[in-house]
Amino acid sequence: MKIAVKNSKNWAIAYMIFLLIVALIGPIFTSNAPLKVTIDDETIYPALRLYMHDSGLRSYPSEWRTIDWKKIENGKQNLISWDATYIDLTAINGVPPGKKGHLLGADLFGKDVAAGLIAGTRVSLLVAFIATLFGLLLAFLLTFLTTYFGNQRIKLTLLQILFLSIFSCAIWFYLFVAFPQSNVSAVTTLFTAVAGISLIFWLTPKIASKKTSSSTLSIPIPMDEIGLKFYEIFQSIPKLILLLVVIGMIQAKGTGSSLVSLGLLMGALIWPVFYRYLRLEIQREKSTDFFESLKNLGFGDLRMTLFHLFPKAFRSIIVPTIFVFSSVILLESTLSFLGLGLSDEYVSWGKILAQARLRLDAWWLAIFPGILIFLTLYALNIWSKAKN
Amino acid sequence: MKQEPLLQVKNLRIVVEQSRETSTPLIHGVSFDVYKSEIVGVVGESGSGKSLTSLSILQLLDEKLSIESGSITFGESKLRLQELPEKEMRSIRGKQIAMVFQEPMSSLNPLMRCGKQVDEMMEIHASKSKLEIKEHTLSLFRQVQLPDPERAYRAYPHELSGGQLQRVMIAMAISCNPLLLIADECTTALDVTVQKEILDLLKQLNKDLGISILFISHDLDVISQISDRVIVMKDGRIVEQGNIEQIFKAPKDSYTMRLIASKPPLGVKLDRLPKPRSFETSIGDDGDFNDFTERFIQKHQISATSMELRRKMLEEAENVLQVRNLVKSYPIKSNFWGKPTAYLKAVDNVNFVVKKGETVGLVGESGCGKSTLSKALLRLIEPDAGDVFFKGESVTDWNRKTLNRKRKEIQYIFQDPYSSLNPRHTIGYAILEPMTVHRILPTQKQRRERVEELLELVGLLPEHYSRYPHQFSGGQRQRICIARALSMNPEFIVCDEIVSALDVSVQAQVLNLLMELREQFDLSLLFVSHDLSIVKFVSDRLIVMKAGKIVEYGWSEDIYRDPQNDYTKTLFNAIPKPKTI
Repeated sequence: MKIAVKNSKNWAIAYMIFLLIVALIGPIFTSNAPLKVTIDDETIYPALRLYMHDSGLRSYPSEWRTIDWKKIENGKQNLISWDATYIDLTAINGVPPGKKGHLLGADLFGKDVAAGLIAGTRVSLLVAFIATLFGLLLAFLLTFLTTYFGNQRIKLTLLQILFLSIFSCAIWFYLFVAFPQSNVSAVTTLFTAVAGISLIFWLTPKIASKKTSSSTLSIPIPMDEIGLKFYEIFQSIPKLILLLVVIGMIQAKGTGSSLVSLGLLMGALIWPVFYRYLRLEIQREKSTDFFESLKNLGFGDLRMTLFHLFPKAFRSIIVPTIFVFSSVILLESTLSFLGLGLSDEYVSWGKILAQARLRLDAWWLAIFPGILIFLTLYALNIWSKAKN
Repeated sequence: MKQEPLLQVKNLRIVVEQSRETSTPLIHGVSFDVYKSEIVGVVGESGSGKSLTSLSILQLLDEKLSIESGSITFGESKLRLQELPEKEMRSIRGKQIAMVFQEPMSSLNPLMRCGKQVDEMMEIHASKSKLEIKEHTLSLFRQVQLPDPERAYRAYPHELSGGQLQRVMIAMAISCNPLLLIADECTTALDVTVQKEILDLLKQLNKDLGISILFISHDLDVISQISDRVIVMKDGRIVEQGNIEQIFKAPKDSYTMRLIASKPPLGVKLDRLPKPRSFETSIGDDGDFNDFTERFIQKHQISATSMELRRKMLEEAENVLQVRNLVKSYPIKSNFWGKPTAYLKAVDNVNFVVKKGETVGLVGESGCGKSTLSKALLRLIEPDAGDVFFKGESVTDWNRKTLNRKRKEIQYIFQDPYSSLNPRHTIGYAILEPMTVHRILPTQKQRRERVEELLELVGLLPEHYSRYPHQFSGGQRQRICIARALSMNPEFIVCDEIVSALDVSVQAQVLNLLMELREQFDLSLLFVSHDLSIVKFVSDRLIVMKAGKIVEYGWSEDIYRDPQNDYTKTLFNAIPKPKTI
């Protein structure tokens, strides 16, 4: 039993590495342009050049754009000789696998499924990565502000409480009322949100370190309790419905969301998973000698958390992080399936899968992305189980 | 008269299986006998294999450990224990060989009344009616001198104190009239006064019931109090065994000598303890141990005149730390609205002074508030009331920023060095980091050089800079923590039980180091410990605490010679004293 888990863990990791490589250099092999071509005794690599052009390394010669590579004789055809976004007019409304040069068939727009899956790997992994990272960041911030400071440390006078509440109201107003009306992008809004939170984050230690003399009335702010209540309220909202509403609001202005904004949105949704673990971990850390020994060395709050407490706490959330990563991949697929995911310029697994809904006999649109999603989640689950 | 041994262990070898092929031996051929109605003490430092040996007698070894060779025979019928089937072994455990462990709290079922747990033992092994069993349990509770047997019978484990629980455990162990009782560090977790009572109880039981006792401990003094014969173990081998007088008066092995001499003597005031190497070099093969100790004491005893001088100097020295009416209390009861109605005063109106260059010892039993007090001084715990002055400045009035800045001048060394070091940072970085934060030296290069100097100063090598804490032993880690505290050039250091978790011989080395550094850096120390002999060895002045209050405060020699307070007297009486001195 033990050996089985160990072996399957190696397989899972190998699969994930393979997926990562595909995400990185996959587009070289899915291109209308061939891998290698000899024109006038000169050997050129158009697919590689195209990939480099897309990555911003080298430019793609403009005269090559006009060439129809499929008609060039002495060239080596690419593994999958379709661009992920190329619309094959002969294959509109979908063709089954193996027909008209489409290895895994084509979708309803005439786009190649195999090329789409490879391009989608990058998108799916990137979105999941952004979301997980942002979720982690939010959770760390919140734990720092609430659990680290605890229920007793921050003592405010009535005046300070008044100031802070006005300040938070102002942030709230600019974030959700002023900014949305002034036609700025979602990214800017989120950036402002992060900036605002960081401002509080920067201000709180300042206020905390201010010695409040015993003569003025100061009230201890139960930060940890506030954080916990916030978490509980957030957990009681059905996540998918909240996401649908928010995405609906954003998409009302444009078409689909960009990779970054969808990632950030999903990240803002999954932080409670990390927060739950982190809070316990920091609370446990705070009662140990380790915490007191750091205090004894005269370390500041930031050094204490960033260099000592959080790296130590991160160990315990590696497994949840893997779980969250896989669930975000699934969530992205779900959203794309519902037509609320990424905008049309992106290809993702979920979007290919979504088309199976429109043409029920197109089994290849459901099976291949389905298998890929299933395998990825399975591999991640095995990995995290082995890590446990 | 030579009788047959009750328990005979011959050439016992225990190995740990690392993989299918390789295994490392942990016990290398241990042989000893235990006779009827005899108390045999097994002494050794951590990792010497004393607990493994006792567990192997009961066949309670971990799955990965196995007895490779040797035999364990028990009783008149010469049962070979390691060949017995599990079913028969079960009838021997508890009925013929009983065991008492170190932590009574974790050996008892927290959800069952103590009396019932003892009953259960007899229900399994003896055929009696329920009423008889209960009667028997109560009589056992009386026999182990539990204060209120009826109450103890009904109590849950958490309602009894550590000493009382250990008595329950002993009652349970003797309930089926075993022939052999194995006591594995059964007094280690207890306070000295309670320890003395338990030792007396065990001796009494041995005399009344004729039970043989295999008493395992790391503390030679405790062993010397109770046992008839001693077995000294080191690294899985028996280095010496013999009668108690023989071992203490004329130890043959240098390791035994080290164990005996490493404990600070109470009667005399020494300026340092013997180094481990000195036993091999200055005694040699034919040297006499007593000669050596006498010579050592003569050489290193602090004379009355120099003690007088030091006292005078200290009295004139300036105050480094002054504590005035310090109070720290914890709520223990609260009303419906969460407002506390009753408090436990962990530190209750404490006043004392630490002079420049002075070492003040703080001693008391567990729960007396000594740790709370020492942490409240540095505001690692915020005190409720009272003042602490550090060189005339009020520590209690500092804000967080000043406090952080001033931390470099007042340092605290913790009991467990491993938990106070970050396991992912090299020890060099651990020492360097606070220096960087407090900008001790102008450049990073100078700081690094200073770290290497400090490492050498505490008896480590500069090459150790890039190693991680887990690569060091307990004593070395404590040295690292001392180096880290010193890196900020503090004037005052609180040492909270810093040697309590260490083995005796390592303890002596760390204490010697501390004594040297104290002189070299002109440090003032507050030395906190539950171990009176250690506190007395290091300190000029002594504070005895009980239930949050200082019961006695004065020059440590004076307090030792003539304790004024009754509690101090019992505390001194309870210390296990080695038989020779």
